[in-house]
Amino acid sequence: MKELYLFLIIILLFTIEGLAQSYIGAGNDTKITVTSSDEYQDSSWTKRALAINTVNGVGLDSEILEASRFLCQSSLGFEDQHIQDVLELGIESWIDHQMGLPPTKILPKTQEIYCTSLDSMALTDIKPTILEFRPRWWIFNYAWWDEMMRNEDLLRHRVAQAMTEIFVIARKGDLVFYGDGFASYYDMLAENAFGNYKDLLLDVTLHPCMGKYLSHLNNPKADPVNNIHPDENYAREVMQLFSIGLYELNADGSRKTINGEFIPTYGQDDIREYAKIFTGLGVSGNIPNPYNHKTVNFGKSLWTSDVTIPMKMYEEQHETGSKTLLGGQVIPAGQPGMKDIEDAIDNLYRHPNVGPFISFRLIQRLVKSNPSPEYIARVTAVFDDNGQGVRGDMGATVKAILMDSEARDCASQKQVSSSLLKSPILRYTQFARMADKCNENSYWWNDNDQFAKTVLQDLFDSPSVFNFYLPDYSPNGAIANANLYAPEFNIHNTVTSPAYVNEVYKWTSASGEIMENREGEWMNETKVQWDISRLKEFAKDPESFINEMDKLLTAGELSTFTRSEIKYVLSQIVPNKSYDYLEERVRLGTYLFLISPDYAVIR
Amino acid sequence: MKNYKEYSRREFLGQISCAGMGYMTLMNSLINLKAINAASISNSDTEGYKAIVCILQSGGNDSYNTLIPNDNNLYKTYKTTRSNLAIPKADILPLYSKSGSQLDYGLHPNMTGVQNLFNSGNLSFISNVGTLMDKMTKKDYINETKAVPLGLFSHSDQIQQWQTAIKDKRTAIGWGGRIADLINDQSKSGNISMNISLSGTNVFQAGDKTMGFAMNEKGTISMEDYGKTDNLLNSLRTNAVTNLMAHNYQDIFKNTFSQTMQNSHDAHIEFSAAMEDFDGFSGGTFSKGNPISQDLKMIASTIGIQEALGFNRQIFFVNFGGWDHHDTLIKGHGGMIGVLSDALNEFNAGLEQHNLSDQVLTFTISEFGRTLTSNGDGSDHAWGGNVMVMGGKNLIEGQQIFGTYPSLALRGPDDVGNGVILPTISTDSYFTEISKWFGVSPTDLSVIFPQIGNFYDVNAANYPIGFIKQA
Repeated sequence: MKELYLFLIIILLFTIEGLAQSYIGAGNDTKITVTSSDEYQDSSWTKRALAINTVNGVGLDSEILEASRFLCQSSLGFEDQHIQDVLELGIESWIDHQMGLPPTKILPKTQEIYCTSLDSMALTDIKPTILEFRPRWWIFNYAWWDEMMRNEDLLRHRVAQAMTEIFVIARKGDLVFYGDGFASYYDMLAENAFGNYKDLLLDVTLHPCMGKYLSHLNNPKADPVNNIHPDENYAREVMQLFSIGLYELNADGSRKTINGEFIPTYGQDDIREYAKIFTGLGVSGNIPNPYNHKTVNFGKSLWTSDVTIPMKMYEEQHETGSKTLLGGQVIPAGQPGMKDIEDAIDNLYRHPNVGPFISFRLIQRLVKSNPSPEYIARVTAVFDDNGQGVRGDMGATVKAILMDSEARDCASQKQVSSSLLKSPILRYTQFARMADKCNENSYWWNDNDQFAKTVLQDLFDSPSVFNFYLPDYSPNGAIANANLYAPEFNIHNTVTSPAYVNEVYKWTSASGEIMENREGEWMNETKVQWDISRLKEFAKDPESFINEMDKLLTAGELSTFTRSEIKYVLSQIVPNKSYDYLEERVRLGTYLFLISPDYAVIR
Repeated sequence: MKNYKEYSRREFLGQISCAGMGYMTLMNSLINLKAINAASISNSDTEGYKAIVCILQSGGNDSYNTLIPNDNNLYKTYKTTRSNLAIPKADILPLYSKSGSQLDYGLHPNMTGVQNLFNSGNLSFISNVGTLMDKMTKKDYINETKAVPLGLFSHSDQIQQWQTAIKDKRTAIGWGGRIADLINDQSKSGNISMNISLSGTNVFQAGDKTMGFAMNEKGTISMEDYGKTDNLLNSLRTNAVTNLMAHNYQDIFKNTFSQTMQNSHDAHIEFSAAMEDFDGFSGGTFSKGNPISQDLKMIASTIGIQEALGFNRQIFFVNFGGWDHHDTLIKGHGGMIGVLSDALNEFNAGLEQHNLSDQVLTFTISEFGRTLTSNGDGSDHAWGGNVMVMGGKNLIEGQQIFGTYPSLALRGPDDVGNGVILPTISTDSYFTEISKWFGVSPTDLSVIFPQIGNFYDVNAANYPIGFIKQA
């Protein structure tokens, strides 16, 4: 059977010109494994990849579904057109093309929406308070969602979103007033997504929102007379969470040992040395403000400051003595403060842990919770040297993660370790991007507040710098017994699970909204609702509807069981006088898709 | 009626033999001890009703600005050391002993709630508690003659260790979870774990097989329109969701995902039925604007319906986050400690309305104390700190400061550098006392708290610290 199938594929490739260019595995990229029918269990692919379907063209669905599966790893959400793009370009060229696209910026949109909102408010009796001289956090959310619903640089933003979960800043760190700060920080991550890790780490370090969040903003040098020592917060977390972690690692992510003991990467003395480095940083400029603040100085808060430009060094507040970095590297006394910081970042950047540390975290965000040591090692090798002698090339690292056989090869799909629970935010963005939306002005503004409060995830809303979940979290039961990590299950519990179902209920019900915002009070029509007209056409035939949704939502993961349940439900909703049966098929069918484990888990 | 406890214990022993993950060492020692002393399997005391409520101040509470020197000389040292972080002496709230004399230590000015609890005998402090492997002097620490816990001063390690009581290994099994593994009480229909969290998944309540049950301040959560069969569409929805939840998916991630949905639904049915007969609290007991108070209100309500749910033992958990005051300490810490203080006071009042305060022990934990010295506008990660225990007057020895409040002099006897205070009471002693009252047998105590033997004889008649009234 398998031989016949492969034979027919080959015949197909040689005989149908033009078509050969239209799907992956068709010679566009040798690293892509073409799926073959009998590798799958419990999947609708089995049926459609039969030899006969290969001949009549239906068998090509498996390539479409593979493109869809790839987009689940490489985007926050996608539309039919993007599947076509992947099929046309092949995965490698699609990645290259994506990396060449200019970054969609969130800051300009944040400012624009802020002005639109204020202008509208001015036309009403509602008067802006004195607080209204800069956009707050939810205006950033509006802008981010609005852009993510229409951008074409999908890969960059999937990586940037992943980076918000590694280089964490959050509203809970007194940042609720700085929507412009979040936008600028996010844009900085997105710009560095395919750049060099060293630039990324330096930009992260110098961003005023990070300065506020981990308190190296306005961190003065020691004042022994008053028992004041440099703040150790950033010094610790930049090592533990942003670069090297607690223990020395092998290239495959495993811990090195001496006499059976793990080897710590740093100690409290190192933290105190790095704390000295991160002294003297303060804000660099002001924004127009009702208090007429025009100058900056060390100690000035973010309140009226420009949080979109990096912090600057106030030399008189910088610790002057020499400092000892990791590995015993001594930087001399009296260097300019910024040179100290650059040297310290360079010292971390060159640490051999960075490759496995960052690779593991990015793989967990994009592909799977339990990469094999070999997979980590292959990605680490690319991080360490992109082939042109450059260390820390994030673009090459991302490409290596997505092109790896463990991400692409369907055989690895069968492993118990191949799964990734989509984080709640990814479950949301994927549906929202796929859905046709209606709003008078095409404003896709979402403050995401309700979702964040009940399902417990939103950009920049982590409870602490340790993100929403830890990389090694493992829920009791089958997953722990299989010795596997499943970070996202850390926020999937008896509260968030039904809360997510209720969010889906809201999105898919006739009166519900896909996105919520708080501008309705002074602006007409800011509701964002779901336009189901396109899907109603598919719903005339339950099978067609299910196939379309499998393509856009479950990427071939739809199990036979879930498929038959949904099909049964749709078949029971028939033409009648009390409601539009096609509409109800779309609404209930999509609800079931979105709450099903087949949608929640990528494999 | 099926005896759940019997069943659970047998199941527990069965479970041990196939326990996976990295907890083998610990679990093996459990088995061995069980084998030596088979009686201990059933000698946890689960008579009557008892609950413990753990409030985690995550981030590291600055507990030397919580319980503050109020005596003139002691205050002078405090002021010198803490520099720009010192609370003005005139603002400190006084505390009184049972005999009515003013104590040398007082409270942060926003802690009027705790002041009321303390002075009325419902609350005590334990001073300078921290993670320790063994009794340790400053000399031991400086000369490195004794082992210290892994990752001192680090959030992730210390927050874990306060929840696991394991200080030389990293494990995700908490001491509350291990107690639940042993006692394994559960609701009548078995849908609700004895470990209930108001703050989602946490280490403290995770056992080898126990998983905490999460609810929010409103209780359990229903799924919209699920369960309705009043029309065709609702019936179809209800049936399909029922089938999706019940299906055994081959992929364990998928199956865990749908099982969680199933669990939350089953628990919701049981919980909401039990809540129907609860008569609530008199008006104004719990402030609406205080999120911790609202969490504690739901805990008090759940305790209020324990009979209907069928629990004898319950462990509750609330995480109040945001104490990592590296900056804006005065304002930030001051605001939050006021919120906690009010919430504790309201919780106690709610429990007293239902005559439950003698059965409920509330205690605070936080991953570390903070440096006495300032970093300009805040304080950094340190070690020993002060904690609070609250309960009814027949339950706790109120109105006292247990342990020895450390000297706050820089380079003084308790400072091991930069205003980091070496703890004098181990977390093991603190947790053992609570667990012993809760009914955990001496043998199990020494397994759950592997280093307790360095601080306390588990077979002793007295409690290790003494904040709980001797029965």
